[in-house]
Amino acid sequence: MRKVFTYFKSLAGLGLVTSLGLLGAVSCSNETLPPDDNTPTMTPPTEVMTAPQPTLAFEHDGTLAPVGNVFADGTTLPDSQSQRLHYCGKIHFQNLGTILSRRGVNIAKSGTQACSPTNAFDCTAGNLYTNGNLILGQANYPARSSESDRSTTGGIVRMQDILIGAAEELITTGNPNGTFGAATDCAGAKLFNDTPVACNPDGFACFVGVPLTAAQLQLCSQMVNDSQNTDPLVAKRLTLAAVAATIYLCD
Amino acid sequence: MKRDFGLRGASRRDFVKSVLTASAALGLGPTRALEILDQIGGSALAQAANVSRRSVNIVAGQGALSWFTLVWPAPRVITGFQASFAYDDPTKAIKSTSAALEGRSLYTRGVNGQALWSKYGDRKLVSAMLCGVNTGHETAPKNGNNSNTIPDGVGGAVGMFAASAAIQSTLNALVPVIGIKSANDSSDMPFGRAPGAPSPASVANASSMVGLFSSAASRLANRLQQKTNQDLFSEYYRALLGLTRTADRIAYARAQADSRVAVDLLAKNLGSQLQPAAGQVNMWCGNAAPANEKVDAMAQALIVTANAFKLNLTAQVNIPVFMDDPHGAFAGGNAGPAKIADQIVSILENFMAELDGTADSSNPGKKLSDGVVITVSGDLPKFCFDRNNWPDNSPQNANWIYVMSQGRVKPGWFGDITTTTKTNYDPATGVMDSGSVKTTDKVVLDGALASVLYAVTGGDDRRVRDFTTAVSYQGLINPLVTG
Repeated sequence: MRKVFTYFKSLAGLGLVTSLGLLGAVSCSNETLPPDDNTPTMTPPTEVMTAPQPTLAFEHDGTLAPVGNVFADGTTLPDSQSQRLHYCGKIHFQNLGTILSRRGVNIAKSGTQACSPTNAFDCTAGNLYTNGNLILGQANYPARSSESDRSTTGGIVRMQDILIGAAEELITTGNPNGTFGAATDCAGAKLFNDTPVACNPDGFACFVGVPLTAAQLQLCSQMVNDSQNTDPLVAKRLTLAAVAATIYLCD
Repeated sequence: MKRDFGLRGASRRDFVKSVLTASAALGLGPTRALEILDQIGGSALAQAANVSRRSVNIVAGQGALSWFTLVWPAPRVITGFQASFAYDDPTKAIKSTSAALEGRSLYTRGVNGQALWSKYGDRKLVSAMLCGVNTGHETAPKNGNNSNTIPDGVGGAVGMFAASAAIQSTLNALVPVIGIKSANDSSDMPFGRAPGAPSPASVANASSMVGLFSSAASRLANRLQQKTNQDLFSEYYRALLGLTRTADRIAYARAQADSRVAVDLLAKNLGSQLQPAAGQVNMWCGNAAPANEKVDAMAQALIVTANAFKLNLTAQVNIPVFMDDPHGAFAGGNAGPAKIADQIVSILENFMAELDGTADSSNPGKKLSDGVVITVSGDLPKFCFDRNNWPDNSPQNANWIYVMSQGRVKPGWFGDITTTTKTNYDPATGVMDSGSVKTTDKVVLDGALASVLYAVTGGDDRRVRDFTTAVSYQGLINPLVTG
């Protein structure tokens, strides 16, 4: 019954469309839009308005320091060079390894991985890092390819994966606050305060290499205490990885 | 335009089908049908009627487009074949006799005596359109008048791949575009700009493409396997990203946008479904080991692409191939290039067969093989009339693009090359220049690339006009193909 009904509907549609189509083909009429009563009336400005601008608007973050303000001194750079001074560069593969290892993360490839006992897939920070070298854009000399200077989406995914693995090594049941080991560059610092649980400014500053702003610290502490968390240890690890991933995104 | 329209579900689809059928029967074409649907039921109904196609753009830079002249040779190479030409065996080039060619020539290399994709009917016949100029050598053709940039685009030059990606946004793929970097110099394939185009996700190779969709975090319960952990990580990551010192810097926006996509992908584990199965590469290469690592890379890339299409993970993949400037290909005789060309054909045939076995989730009732547009372009096609050192200088700097358009672009060769000349054609009529009629390269390029976009839209001239100001390309397209 439903099929019959559908069939009739289709036939009706066909007839309707055919007639409309024929009509449309010969008339090609356009609907006239009603006037818009809300159209604002514009009057041209009588004088040029200029917003206050800083003297060195283009000299942000000191990234142009070696070059100076090219807009002020009239010097121009080739497009390729200029572009490289202004974009989010990929963190160098080797540098990422150095940063992590100097903070107590094992970046060596290991045969046994506790998180994946069958070794069905890489899960430790070391294995993800070592085997992810091409995804992370490391130079591939046999293929005559140098280290890429920009991140790819795949590379960012892998970096985030590594950081979550690294957080798992730093924040453990035996070391829930993520206190850095004596042999690391952050010796003595800890990532999280105890009561109330909050992100420790010194620990995070050392791990990511730059002090977090007040807003970042507040959000960091909010994340670790979020009501969605089911496991306080996992919450701390994900918080560390999330904060670090945003900072490490750009070299 | 928004309007209330009573039909839902199957009835709605039947109605849309009826409109398209009636439109074809009346000779009005799909664009007029969409306009009618828009008037009757609003833009949502019109949108439902038109499903854009996925696309695979094979970029054969560094003179590697010449390999594909062994798959679809210039007609005069076969009709006037001489042993000195850069073609191994003219009996392998099978002449198409379909009426769809309307008198144009098309020779296609065969697999086991059957021309590539011939078992799928006329819609898989390839169009070879002279367009652009010889810009070589380039890995990723970007020099002026290349064959992937529409010169008279809306708001300036428009990248054909970027425009295709904008059109494909209706497919809602997880990663709209994946661009594989060239193994030569890690350069990204050309993409260009277009209004509404998403950023391509670039990966180093096919393995990295698999890596895009798999992570350790997604597979471990104490990381991101649980939905609550995924949500927590994703929400806070985005918020924290907005607090970084560079959050408002336009030059950092691309990386930040990529990282937002990345954080979503991090929670997904699709790697095992994407990577080539054991022995699959050899099977695709005609049950033989790949002739070289470049053939291997092409096979792997297309296998992963087919798997990604099956899972609706992406709508467009741009694949660099060969990049090998094969001047000496024929130095050792025919065996070497013949093996490579046969394996290219075998890989392309298997790619289509793989898609033919899967329903298209974006287009109910259709197979994936009916929902993909394939282009092959490059910086230069070399001089196909001389195998000795296979010279770079194509006749009058001719270049061309191959497109399998699902029948939207008329098949066969548009334009002609001889040993010394090239002859353009008028995109408005499809007729080859003759006598004093000389269509400019720019008009040809505008028209040819507009017709490719027409194929990607599934036959919607209105959408094509969002990207190109080409006066007319009606002579290159088949508006009456339905479905």
